[in-house]
Amino acid sequence: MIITSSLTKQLSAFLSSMSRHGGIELCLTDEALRPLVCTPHFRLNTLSNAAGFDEALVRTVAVQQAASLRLFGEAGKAGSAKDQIESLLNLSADGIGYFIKNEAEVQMLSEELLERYQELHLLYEVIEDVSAVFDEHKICEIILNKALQSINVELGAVAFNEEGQLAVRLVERDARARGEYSESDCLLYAQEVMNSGSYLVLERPEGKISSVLGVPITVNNSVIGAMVLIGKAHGEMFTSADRISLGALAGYLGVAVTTTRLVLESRRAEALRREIEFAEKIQQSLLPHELPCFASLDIAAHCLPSAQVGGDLFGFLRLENQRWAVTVADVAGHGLGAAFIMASLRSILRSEAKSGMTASEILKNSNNLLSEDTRGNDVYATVFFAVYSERDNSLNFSNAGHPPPLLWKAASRDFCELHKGGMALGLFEDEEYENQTVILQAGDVLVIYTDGITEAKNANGVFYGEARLKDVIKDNARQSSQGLMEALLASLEQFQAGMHRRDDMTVLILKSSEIL
Amino acid sequence: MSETQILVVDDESSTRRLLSYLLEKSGYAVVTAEDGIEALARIEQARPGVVITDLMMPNLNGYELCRRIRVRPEFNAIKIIVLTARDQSSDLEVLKASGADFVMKKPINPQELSRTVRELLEKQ
Repeated sequence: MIITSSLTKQLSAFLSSMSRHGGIELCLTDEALRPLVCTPHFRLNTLSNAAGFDEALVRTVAVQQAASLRLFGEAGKAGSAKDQIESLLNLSADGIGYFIKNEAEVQMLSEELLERYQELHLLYEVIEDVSAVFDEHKICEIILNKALQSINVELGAVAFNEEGQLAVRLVERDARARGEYSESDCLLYAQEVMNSGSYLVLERPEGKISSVLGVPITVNNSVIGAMVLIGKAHGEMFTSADRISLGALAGYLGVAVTTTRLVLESRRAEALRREIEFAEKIQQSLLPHELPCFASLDIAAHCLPSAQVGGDLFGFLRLENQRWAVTVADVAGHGLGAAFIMASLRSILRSEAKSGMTASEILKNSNNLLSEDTRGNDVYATVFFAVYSERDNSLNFSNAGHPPPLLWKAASRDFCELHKGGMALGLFEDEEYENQTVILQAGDVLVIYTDGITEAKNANGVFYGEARLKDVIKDNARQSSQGLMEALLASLEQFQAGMHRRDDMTVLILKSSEIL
Repeated sequence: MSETQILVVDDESSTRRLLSYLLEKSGYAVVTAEDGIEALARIEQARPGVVITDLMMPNLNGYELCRRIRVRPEFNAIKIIVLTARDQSSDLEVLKASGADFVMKKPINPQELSRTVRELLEKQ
């Protein structure tokens, strides 16, 4: 501790009061007998011959972490007795000891407070610099450089735990440093800090390294990284103030980096939300606004988009000679990419459909055209494509990897699955496709759907499946298309009770009129 | 003893005590005052090399104290550091308004205060 002016003032008042009331003169000196506080009539010249001073009239006052003080006493004008002087001297020495103990405590608290001020000030500076920065690397750079400057070290590093692996994000070096230490030194100590989750202070841990200070970067009680400083300048050791400062900086670094990550994440989520909205608009614009009317076909359609836009597509296109193209497709993937492929597929199918070729030839050409768009992108579409002729109620179809539509034959009361075709579109060029023609008899029902129906899951993770779909069709085959559609949707709703829909669900029902 | 005297002026006793400790630790002799009026009296007695003063004080505030020091030619050599709150006007405005040599924001940076006092005294 140091003898401050405020302590000197207190001691001076105390010694004066002892002197006045006890009729003695007192002098407090340091170890070298230099007077610090004396009462007015103490004869200072006696100090120059201290050896001759009566030992009984000298007291030693211990001072924490400093040389002891000496208290000299002598009789005042009134000429007090020696034993009285001695007892007053003892009292005074105790009093001085008490003042010094108090002062030592105050000084210790002042030291601590100054360290806090230093830390607070450092944080103020860093917050001013970092507040408008939303770049993780930049934040690390600002804070690490602040640490290098304020703590005066040669090398510092910030490392983060990235998916279980410790990655050094940044290493900064004091320009004046000799460059003795390397990134790998930092990594080693950062790993140690991460593992223990606490401070690391080392003195000469290995030959060339003079000192190491490491603190964990902690957010919400979990360690996300570490800050490590190596080589305090002038070969000094790190102090507790350094540790507190670096701890404060690491704490703020954790907060700033986490905030930045959250901001970026919410920006990405916002971008994704906009993409979905946009894709939804595209999808909606590609679906038919109204269904065509046929004399011999009763049609119902339903397309339920999921929360994340899917790539379901269905449509009708009037061709020559009372023929119509009918399509149900499902583009793999979601979002904007799928929406664009869907738009591309739709226009390809529309132009190819007008060529007058068979369903298989149309799919083959469409596949080659679509493959040019999807090349290397792992994007494909399952397509059921058919040409319906109003003249003979026939359906010439080809199925490119789509779930086989179910044809309920009213006469035989059983199902026929329309799977003839080939590979999904967009995967391989020059694929061959087969086609088949079926005649829709009175009462027959064709249900074309996407896998969102059969793969709908209930709360127990069970698929809705083809069997349930078939049961609903069978039980409601005598109803109108719309009636069957409603029964199917009700069945799905009941099955999924309250579950969140994961995929698009598209169903197209064509029912051949009972009486032609 | 011909130690350099430094006058610390602040109406808060804890700030006076802390600044005194910091400066005495650096080897300066410190006198303190609670407001501008007391500060002027101390300057007459002690002739400090540096005055460190808060701005917001009762009786005579920091701006007025600075002004009264600056109008006295015999106090020309005294360097003045004013302490301001962080949300107050810019350092430059305070400097111009007060005629001080240096502006420091509270909470003070202990290292910066020691360094600034040393540098100001070297200029004298």
